[in-house]
Amino acid sequence: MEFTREDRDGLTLVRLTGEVDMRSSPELRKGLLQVAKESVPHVAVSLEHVTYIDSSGIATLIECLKNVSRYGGKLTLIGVNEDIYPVFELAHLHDVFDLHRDVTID
Amino acid sequence: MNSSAGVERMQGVMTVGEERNWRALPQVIERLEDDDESVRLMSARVLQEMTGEDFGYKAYAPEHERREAANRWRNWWNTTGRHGPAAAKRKAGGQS
Amino acid sequence: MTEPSGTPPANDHAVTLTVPSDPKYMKLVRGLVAAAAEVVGFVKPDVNHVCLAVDEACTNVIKHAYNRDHGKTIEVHLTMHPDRLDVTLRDYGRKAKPGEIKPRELTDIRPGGLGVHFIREIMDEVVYDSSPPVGTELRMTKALPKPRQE
Repeated sequence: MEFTREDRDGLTLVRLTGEVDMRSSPELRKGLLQVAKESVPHVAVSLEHVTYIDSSGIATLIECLKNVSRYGGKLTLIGVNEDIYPVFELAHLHDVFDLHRDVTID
Repeated sequence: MNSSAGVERMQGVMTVGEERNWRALPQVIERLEDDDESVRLMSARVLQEMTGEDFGYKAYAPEHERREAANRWRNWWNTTGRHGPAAAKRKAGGQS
Repeated sequence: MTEPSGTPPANDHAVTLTVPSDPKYMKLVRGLVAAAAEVVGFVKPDVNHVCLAVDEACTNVIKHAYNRDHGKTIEVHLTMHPDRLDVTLRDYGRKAKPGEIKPRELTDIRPGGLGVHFIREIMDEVVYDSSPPVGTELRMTKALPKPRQE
């Protein structure tokens, strides 16, 4: 999995590529914890190029949501493609996260 | 039970698929006749995903049927596949 | 794996993959499960779902049965039937205590506990068998969807 980060004014865009599983989710967690530590007002995570995500990846995103909410920030998941969206549905989290199929950030 | 060598061959086949390494397809075709059925199954999948073809190959078919299908794959590579994915796609598009 | 003599059964066929209990092998397991699921006739998203269920089950073995020891083994047996895929996972680690294996309540939004939920949500039958002298055998089945009546 590749984790890249782009910081704009008040927004951090995290782009993930590849598979998020038990092997790679610790790296995702480390990166998202750092972003939350900086109290970034709006965190957008692009899953456009994520080909697989499991419960460890979902759990990491839940943790990020909680951390960001704690300081009044916002977490948006964008580019939630057809391979990934069903996993959020299975977890009944499609209404909990701010999920977008497209990659535009409001 | 797979040997660790069998697991390595499977990983090699998977890597070809992930990297979309067209030039490595002949090695994957050879794996269609591997002793390890898991390797054969993975190889068939990678070939189908990358080329859209299957030539009737079944990883669990009797050995002689697998060999015939593998020979169809080899023939495909020699006549079409080796010219690259674009040529293979054009050829496939021309067949009704 | 030696090739059996004669013709394999016409209607079902099995493969086995034995991997170290190391997360880096989970991608390989998912790849083989996807191949087997497609042979049975599953299409997306069911292929992805079955891969997810098996991945979660293997992850649980690594975390709980083997306490994150990456030097053990996990056996994955896949039986491809005309109408379903059977998956059996065999580990030789710590057995789960009764009541330990349960999905978490989804109304409780917190990290962790999702894996078992995914397994039970995706697979049609899930049986944890702790009767072997050592370890556990997890047996799961997913049936092909019935064709829609036209």
